[in-house]
Amino acid sequence: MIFAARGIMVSLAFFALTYSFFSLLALLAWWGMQFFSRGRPVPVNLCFGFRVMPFALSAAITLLLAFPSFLLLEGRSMDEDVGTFALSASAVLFLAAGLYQVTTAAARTRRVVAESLEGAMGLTAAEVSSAFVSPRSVLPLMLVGIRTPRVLISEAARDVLSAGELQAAVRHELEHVRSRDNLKKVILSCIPFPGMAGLERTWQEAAELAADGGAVSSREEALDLAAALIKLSRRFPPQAAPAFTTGLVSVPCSVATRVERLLAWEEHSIASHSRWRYALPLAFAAIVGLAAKLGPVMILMHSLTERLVP
Amino acid sequence: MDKVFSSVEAHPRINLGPLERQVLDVVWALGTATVREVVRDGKLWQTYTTIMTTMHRLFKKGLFDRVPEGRAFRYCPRYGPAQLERIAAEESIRQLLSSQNASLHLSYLVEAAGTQDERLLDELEALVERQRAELRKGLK
Repeated sequence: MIFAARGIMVSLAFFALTYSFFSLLALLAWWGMQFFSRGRPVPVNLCFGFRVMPFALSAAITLLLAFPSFLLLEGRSMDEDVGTFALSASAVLFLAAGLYQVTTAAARTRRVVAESLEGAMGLTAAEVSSAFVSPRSVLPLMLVGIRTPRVLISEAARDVLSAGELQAAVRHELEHVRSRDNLKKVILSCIPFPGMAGLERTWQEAAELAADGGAVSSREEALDLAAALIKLSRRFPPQAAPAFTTGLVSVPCSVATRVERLLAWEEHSIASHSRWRYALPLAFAAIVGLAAKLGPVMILMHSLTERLVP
Repeated sequence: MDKVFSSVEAHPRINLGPLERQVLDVVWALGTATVREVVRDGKLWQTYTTIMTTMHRLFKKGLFDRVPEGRAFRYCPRYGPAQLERIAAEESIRQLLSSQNASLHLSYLVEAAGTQDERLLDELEALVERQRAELRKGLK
């Protein structure tokens, strides 16, 4: 039991080190990419990947390799130093901070959503069952919820938009549902790391542009969405959407940039194509390779853990 | 481009003289350039040595990267016009907000930004309406 607790402590210390290392690496790669892209938009999935990869990699290595290798190969003694304690404590603090951030933000958002849903009525014009007109919506048009996503439209927004513009705006929010952007916001909130705010903001901007691109399939629809953005940003000054929700006219992305892109819309010009499917065979091959050489990998991992967390 | 340079002037590290602006403009247009290529481009009448000194100064100011090429250097702009404008704007705003009357300046800034935004939205709205009209005309 004590040995397992020691294993958990060493694994947490190892996690703290690898997570910091991969995060710094991701930040450096990100800054490099921004420098060389010279202002060109960065693909939305790449932004998100850069942000979550450090956590995913370090958690996977710790859980699948570092902890088992410790249990299998470490001698049954108690000789950890203060540094290991401090590192594991920092890992616990970091995980607790993520958990606290998510729970408090979720509670705040639940309150706002509950208020916004009071007296909400289904919107038939949008031809989607998940769109509601709400007399108390905090934003003119917003997407709330993760398991059962709903598009909330304020009465004022419904009155100001034409049928085509309203449909384009709802389609934009449904694109966020398709790409699970609210869930991604929760994930980002779970894994805080200093210096990542810029990367998160860029991801949010890219997510808005991607949703614009996915929501329109003709010039007419692009113009409808552009008109909706202009009308709503004039009537309702852009403000930050509550945590884990998405607003059509929210702060991270400039309305003018989005309208300019929509005005320049051509078939296939904005649509983003996911390349994640190419990564799956690679990941599968890596897992098979690791499994085939599990013994040597465990020994290597254990010696690495010994070096990093003596 | 003048707009870029006027905002750049407020930046202490990239305060540019008229010739520096012209050289930067030429190198932006060429992508990368040696001194000889800038002279050969023909947009500037200054001598080889003057342009070499200017490009060296821009390198010292951190606006150019350079790599040796034969006995000379090939210069490459470190920032594009948009990036440079952004840096200059950020620096100006930082200076503005670190002054004694920061809150007053901020209120002016917000007011000016609001007016500017409104104007930009007007222009974009007109463009949307024009494109819609063209689309309707095309459908008829």
